[in-house]
Amino acid sequence: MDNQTGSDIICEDVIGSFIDGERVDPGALKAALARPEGRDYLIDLLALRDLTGDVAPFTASAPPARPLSPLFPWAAAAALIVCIGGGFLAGARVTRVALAPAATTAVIAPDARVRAPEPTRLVRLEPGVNWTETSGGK
Amino acid sequence: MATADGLFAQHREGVFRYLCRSVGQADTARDLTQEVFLRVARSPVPDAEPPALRAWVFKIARNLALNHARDGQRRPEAPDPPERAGPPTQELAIALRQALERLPAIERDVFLMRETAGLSYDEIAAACEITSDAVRSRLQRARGHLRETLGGALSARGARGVRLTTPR
Repeated sequence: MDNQTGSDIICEDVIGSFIDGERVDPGALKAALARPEGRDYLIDLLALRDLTGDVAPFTASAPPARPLSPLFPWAAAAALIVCIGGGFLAGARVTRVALAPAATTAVIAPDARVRAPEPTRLVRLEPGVNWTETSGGK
Repeated sequence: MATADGLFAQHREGVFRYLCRSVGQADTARDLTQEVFLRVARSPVPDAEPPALRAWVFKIARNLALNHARDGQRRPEAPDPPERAGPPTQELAIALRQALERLPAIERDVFLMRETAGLSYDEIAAACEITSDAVRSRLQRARGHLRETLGGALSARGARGVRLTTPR
């Protein structure tokens, strides 16, 4: 590469541009291809192209996700508001039903009240008795 | 007006081939190709002529490839698989990958956009944000380096027969 002459560089430039489909001067192309180095260069570029493009075809694991509609965020927000509003209304309705007075009220007659049982033994509090005695107690 | 679906249908193969050679791994290239078109789908597609749109898509692909390379430099490198004696084509493919890795990034991108996806000089110039003359000189330099590095292997490939093709 470093010991290339100016004519080598022009020759490669013309041949490179030619195989790339760019417009080239026909005289320059003729001159480039008249040189053995130019013909070698052309063959090498074609081989290089053949080698570089030799890649297995693309197989996508899944097609790329379709773009979301610009309306999607608004639709999602509207659905959320409907859900929250509906939930609030349903909850308020259930709470009203729960707080409403029962349709029937039980009335307990005074004589039907439950009385405490009568005592079977009476223990009197006697002042002076040592309740904390521990000696000989059983 | 072009759509994201239309751009995907037209350019997925070219973008994949470019990324495949740029990052050197088909699986990574596949993921990056998906990412390119996700970004295309999420962005408003410019109201422009097809060549400008193609340059726009490849600019996104190039930026992702550069980001990937930068992230790879920060991450500890995975050990290279042991070299195995394979068929000549495989050896040549490995040699090409190594030769591409040694090129300066801009030369590699210019060369790959031309040879794997068939972008014109003007499209490459728009994608890489350089002039068309710079594309021409970078391309010629990249070809010179690759020819020098691959040397005889390239001649052997040429000896199998060549044909004048235009990359798609």
